[in-house]
Amino acid sequence: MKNYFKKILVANRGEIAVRVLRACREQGIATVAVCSEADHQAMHAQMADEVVEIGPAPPLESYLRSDRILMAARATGAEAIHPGYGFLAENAEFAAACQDAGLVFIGPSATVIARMGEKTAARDIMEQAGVPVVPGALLPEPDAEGDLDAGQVAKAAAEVGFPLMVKAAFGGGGKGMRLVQAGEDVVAAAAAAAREARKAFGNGTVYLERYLERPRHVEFQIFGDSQGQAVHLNERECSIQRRHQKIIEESPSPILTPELRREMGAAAVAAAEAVGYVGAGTVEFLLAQDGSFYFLEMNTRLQVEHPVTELTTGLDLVRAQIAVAAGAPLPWQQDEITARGHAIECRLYAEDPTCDFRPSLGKILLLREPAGPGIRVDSGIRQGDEVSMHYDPMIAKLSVHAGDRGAAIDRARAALRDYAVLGITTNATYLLDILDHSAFRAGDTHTSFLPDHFVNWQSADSAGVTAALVAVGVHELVRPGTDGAMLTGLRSDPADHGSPWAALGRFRLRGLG
Amino acid sequence: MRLEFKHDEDLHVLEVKQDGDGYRVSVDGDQQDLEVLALNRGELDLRLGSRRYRAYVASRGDERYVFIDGRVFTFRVPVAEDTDSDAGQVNPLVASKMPGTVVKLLVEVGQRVETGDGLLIMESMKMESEIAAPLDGTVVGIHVTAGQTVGLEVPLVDLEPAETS
Repeated sequence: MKNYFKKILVANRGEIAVRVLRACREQGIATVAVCSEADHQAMHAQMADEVVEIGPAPPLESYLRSDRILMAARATGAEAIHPGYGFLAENAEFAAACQDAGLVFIGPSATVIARMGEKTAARDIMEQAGVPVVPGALLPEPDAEGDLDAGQVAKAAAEVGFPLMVKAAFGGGGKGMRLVQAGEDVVAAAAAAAREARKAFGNGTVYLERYLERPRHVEFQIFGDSQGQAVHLNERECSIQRRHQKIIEESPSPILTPELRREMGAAAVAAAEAVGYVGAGTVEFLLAQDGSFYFLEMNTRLQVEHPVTELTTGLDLVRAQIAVAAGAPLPWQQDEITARGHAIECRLYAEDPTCDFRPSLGKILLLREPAGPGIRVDSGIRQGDEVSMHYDPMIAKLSVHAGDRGAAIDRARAALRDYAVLGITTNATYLLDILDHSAFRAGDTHTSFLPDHFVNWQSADSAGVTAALVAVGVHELVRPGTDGAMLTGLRSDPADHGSPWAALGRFRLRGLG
Repeated sequence: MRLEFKHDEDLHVLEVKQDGDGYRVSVDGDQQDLEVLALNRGELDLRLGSRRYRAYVASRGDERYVFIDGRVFTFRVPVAEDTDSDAGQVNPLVASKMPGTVVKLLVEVGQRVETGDGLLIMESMKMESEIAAPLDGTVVGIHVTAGQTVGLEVPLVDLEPAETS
C-alpha cells in the first residue's frame, strides 16, 4: 500500500476531526491537530501526533483563522490539509491560500468551491445543465453596518413569492436561514440571517428562495477525480430537520424507486461533471410529493451524514478523499458501487428539545456509548469534557446498519436506549420518540415532519420514575461524602473506587453487615 | 433510611430497609423488594420487584441525574433552608437565559416598551435570538454592551413596570 501523504493537518474539531484523524492513522499518515485555547483537552487535540494552538475559543479567532492554520501546517511540515465540514471547509479563499502555500487542500479546487458556494451561481449552472431549480433571488450585500436596503429586500421577496426562505449565500447547515411567511417580516429576517452568516461563514450575503410545502430532502453523494471521472454513491434522505438542520438521515430513501434513483443520480453526476468536480461532494434536492425534484444546493465537502453512505456501500469516503486529493484515480467505477441493507444516522445534540432546542452547556459527568453489531458511534467528546457555547452543539452521531429499514429503526432505538449522557441535556429521548412514530416507521417523512408531529413534545418519563428514584436513592446512600455507609456493606470506599471487582464482590454477598 | 427527592414539582419519599438477603424499598408508600446486583462509578444494576434495571447516576450540586432505558430523570435533593428566600426579589429584571454574546441592543435607557418588544439580540452557539420584554414598562438600566460575552442569568436590562390603571 502506498502512502499518498506523510503528514496531514486536520483543520477542525469535534467528531469530524476525530473521524479524519482515524482515517490518517489507519494508513500510517502522521497527523497534526489544531485547537483553540479552550480545546487542549478535547478529544481531537489529544489523539493527533502533534497539536498546534491557533487562538482563543471563539471560532473567528481560531478555527476560522486561515492564516494561523497555514502557519501551523508550515511549522509542522504537513503536506495536506483536511478541512472537515463547517469552519473553512467551503471557503474558497482558504483553499486557494493552501495551494499558494504549496499545500494540498483535501477537497475540490478553490474555483469549484467558489462557484458552488455562491448558491445562486450554482443554481445557474444547474439550470444550464437542465436540472430544475426552485425560484429564488440574490440580495445585495449588506453595508458596513450589516444593514440591508429594505426596499430592495421587499422587491426581491415579492418576485420570489411567499412563503420563502432566507439563506446564507456562502453557508450551509441551517445557519443564517429563516422561513418567512409574509411580506412584513422579510427585512428583519434577512438582516438577522446576514449577521449569522457573517459570523458563521465570514460573508453576510443572503438570498431568497421559494419555500415548497412538505418536500423530502434527498441528496446524492458524488465523487470526482482529477482524471475527470465522476460517480454517485446513491442517496441519503435527510427530511427529519429541526430549525432547518438535519437530525436523522437514512439511506436508501424510503420513497425512491430505482427509476427515480437513476434519474436523480444522473443529474447529480451531470452536476459534478459540469464543474469538473474533484473529491467528495453532495448534490441536494428537494423531492416534491408528485415526484418532481429540484436542485437545492451543492455542498463541496464531506457531509456530516456521510456514515450512512459508508455503511450501505461499504466504502470509506475519507480514505478516498485523501487518495483523490493526491491525484489518484477514483477507487471505484459507477457499476462497482452497490448498496446493501438500510442505514440510519441520528445526530446527538447537546440541546433541550422541550425548550426550543436551546443548547445545553456544561460538563459531561457520565458517558456510556452503545456498541454491538451494526452500531457505529462517531463522537468528539468524552466523559469529563465541557460542552462550550462557542461550538456547534452536535456532540456525536449514532449510525446503525441493518438488513432493512424496520430492522435499522429497531437497532437505532435499542442503541439510543443504551446511550447514556449525564450532566447536559441531549436530544436522545426526542430521537427515540421520532424513530418510533408511526409516520416515521411508515416512511412518511418530509421536511415539516417535526413541526407537524413533534410540536410541544415532552418526554413521557412517568413510567420509569419509580426505578429512577430507587437508583438515585441507592446512589445517594453509598455516595462518598454522605453520612457514611448508610446501606450496610454497600459503601463504596473511594480507595477501591477504581476496581469493579471490589464493589461487585461485596454486593454478591447480599446482606453483609 | 429515609430520603427525599424532588422531581419537577413533586416531592417523593423513599425508604430503604435491610430485609434478609436484600432490601425493602418504599417509594411514596409503595413497597417493593430491592436487590443491588452491582454498583460501580455511577453504574447501578438493580432488581426492583421482578424487573431488572441498569441505571447510571451522576450528581452536581443538589441535582441528581439518572439514566434508565434511554430516558434521563433529573431530581433535586431538597435543602433544609430552601433557597426560596432569593425569590423575594421579584425585580423586573431581564437576565440571560443562556451564555452568549450580545449582538445588538435594540433599546435605550428611558425607552418605553410593550410586552414582546425586542430588547436586544443575543447569539449563542452561532444562533441568534431576540430577548423580548416580559412586561410593559420603561427601560431604566442596561447592563451590557454590544459585543459583550455574558454567562448564564446575568442581568441584561432593568425594566420599570408600567403603572397598571
